[in-house]
Amino acid sequence: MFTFQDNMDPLKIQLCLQGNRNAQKELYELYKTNMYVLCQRYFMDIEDSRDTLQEGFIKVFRDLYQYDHSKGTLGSWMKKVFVNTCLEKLRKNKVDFQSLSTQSDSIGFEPNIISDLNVKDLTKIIQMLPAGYRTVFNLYVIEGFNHKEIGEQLNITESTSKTQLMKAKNMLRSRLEEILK
Amino acid sequence: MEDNSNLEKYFRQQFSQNIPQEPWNTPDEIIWANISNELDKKPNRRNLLLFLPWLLTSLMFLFSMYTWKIMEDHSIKIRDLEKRIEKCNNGTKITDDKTDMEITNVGKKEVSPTKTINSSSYINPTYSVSENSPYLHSYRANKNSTINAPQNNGSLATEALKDQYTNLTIVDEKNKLVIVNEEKQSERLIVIIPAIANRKSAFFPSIKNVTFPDYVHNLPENKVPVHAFYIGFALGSNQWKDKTSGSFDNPLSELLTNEKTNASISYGIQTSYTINNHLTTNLGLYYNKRNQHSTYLLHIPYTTSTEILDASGEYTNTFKHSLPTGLGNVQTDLLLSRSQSSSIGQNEIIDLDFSFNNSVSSILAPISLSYFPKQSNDGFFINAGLQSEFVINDKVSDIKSLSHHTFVKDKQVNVNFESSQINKFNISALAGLGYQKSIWKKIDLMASCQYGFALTDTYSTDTYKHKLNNLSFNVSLVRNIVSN
Repeated sequence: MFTFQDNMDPLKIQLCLQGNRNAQKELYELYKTNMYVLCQRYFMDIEDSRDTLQEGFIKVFRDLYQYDHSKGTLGSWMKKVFVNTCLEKLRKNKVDFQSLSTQSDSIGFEPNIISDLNVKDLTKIIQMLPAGYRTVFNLYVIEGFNHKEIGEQLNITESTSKTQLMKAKNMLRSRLEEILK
Repeated sequence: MEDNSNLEKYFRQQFSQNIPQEPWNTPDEIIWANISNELDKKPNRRNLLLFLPWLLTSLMFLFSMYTWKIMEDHSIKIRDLEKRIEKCNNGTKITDDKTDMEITNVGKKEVSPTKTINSSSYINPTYSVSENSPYLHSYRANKNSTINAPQNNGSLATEALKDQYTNLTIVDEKNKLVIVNEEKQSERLIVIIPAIANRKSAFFPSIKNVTFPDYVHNLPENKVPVHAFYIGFALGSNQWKDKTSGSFDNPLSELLTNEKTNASISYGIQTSYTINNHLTTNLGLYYNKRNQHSTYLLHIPYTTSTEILDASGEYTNTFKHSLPTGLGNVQTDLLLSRSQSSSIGQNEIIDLDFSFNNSVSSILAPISLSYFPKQSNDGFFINAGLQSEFVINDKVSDIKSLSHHTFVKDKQVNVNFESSQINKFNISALAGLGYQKSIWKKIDLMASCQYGFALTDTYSTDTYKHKLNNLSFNVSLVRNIVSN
């Protein structure tokens, strides 16, 4: 699983555990951008992203005692919490992770051109995918889960996960073609 | 595919690094305010309502245990009384032509003529004697007449006998015992009371024991069995176990990856007839629908030479199979398609996940004999018998297919199943145990668990046989509609 740099002082983490609001605010300020982008990757609706960001941080502060620094950085632990929060919200919204879009397949494209796209563009492109494709794409490509783990998370078969990913990538390619033309 | 891996790599890189803060990815201040407010709240107390179902279940369990204890104590008292009665000596017979009971009243003291009174059930046990009771007067005045008992009306019987008798013991409902009131020396009254139901006594545990005289009460030598007939609704849960022997005589049999008959629910009517004090015979009629789910992984070599360009501008290709299942062969027609601009190599393998249900609707008719160690229709029982299954409908349904290929997709699938392949009549040998208890007046609850060993094949060929064993859990609510 890929992580970004963690700069949180362990003493500050301790203060957060003690309920120090200033320390908690500092932690929030440090991670809010990346976590907000993570939430936006899972939801097209901005309100859902904001709600999930809020719920995710509440869970982080309430369950911070479960974080074990020997098992990874705080950022990677928080990412897991936020991914789980996003998946819970998707289940509450009764998203169908198995539905297949009727989007047709596309031909290839020049990979070098996508380097012109920034994170905002990429986030928007991911948001345009159907919910099921988007979720599998996020979990596999960005979060780094394998298809078996994705199947267990979303209660779908491995083969469905593979198909969803394949369809997601095909759709992404066609979207990218439209953008880059 | 290189472009895929580049794409993935680029996405991964972009989202794994620190993202600079910009207006589009900066949450409003209100988000932190909400988080802070939420953290200021005290931790949620556990919602007591979550415990309510558990609390109610525990209370119901405790209540039923209390009720059972009282009923058990009452039963013990009754058994003790019965033993005491049996120890009394025999004496002179008294016969009343208009009743069907012979009564023996014994004793060395002289007694005035007595009559029998037949009363119905549910008599309040605590009532007092009145010497001046008009009822008694009429009794004396018409010493040879028969008092017509209230007709199966507990409340009328209570009224009729109220304030007249005291210290009468409730005894076993299924037996008619004679009880004498010893207190009134001048008036011997032999009363036959079909006993009050134990369940009523359980709620009014104010039974007073009778001081029995030295008189014999003419007890029937053998307990009269109650030939009760129960009928009611039943619900069952069935777990099916596929038993196969041999192998499919079909080259595509290796494509079958999983096959299982899923659990099913059955519902219908349950009847029970009491043969004697320990044996009952049971017959049920249930409707059941079971599904055998078969999953295949097909590897189809795709050939472009048989493609047809259809009206929508896509290439289509048809593939036919005869797939083996535990209930016969299923003929499949699979239509694959691809767009004109997509590329595929000759004989490139298409992987396809394919599954369907074989749904069998049937009528189940179990017939069995139950043995109750304690008393028929009361308590635990073991049973054994046969179950017949009559298949009324059989069809393939819930067909699913999914191809794993970038350019070829499954467009349409048709299946055909010849239902004559399966046996329409199956028999299983049943064995199990259960529990029956009266829950209210003439209504009983029966619960049982049975295992059915298949005696016939559901489907068979020269090289392959398929049977279905069955574990069922049944609950019935039955009413006693005939008893004597």
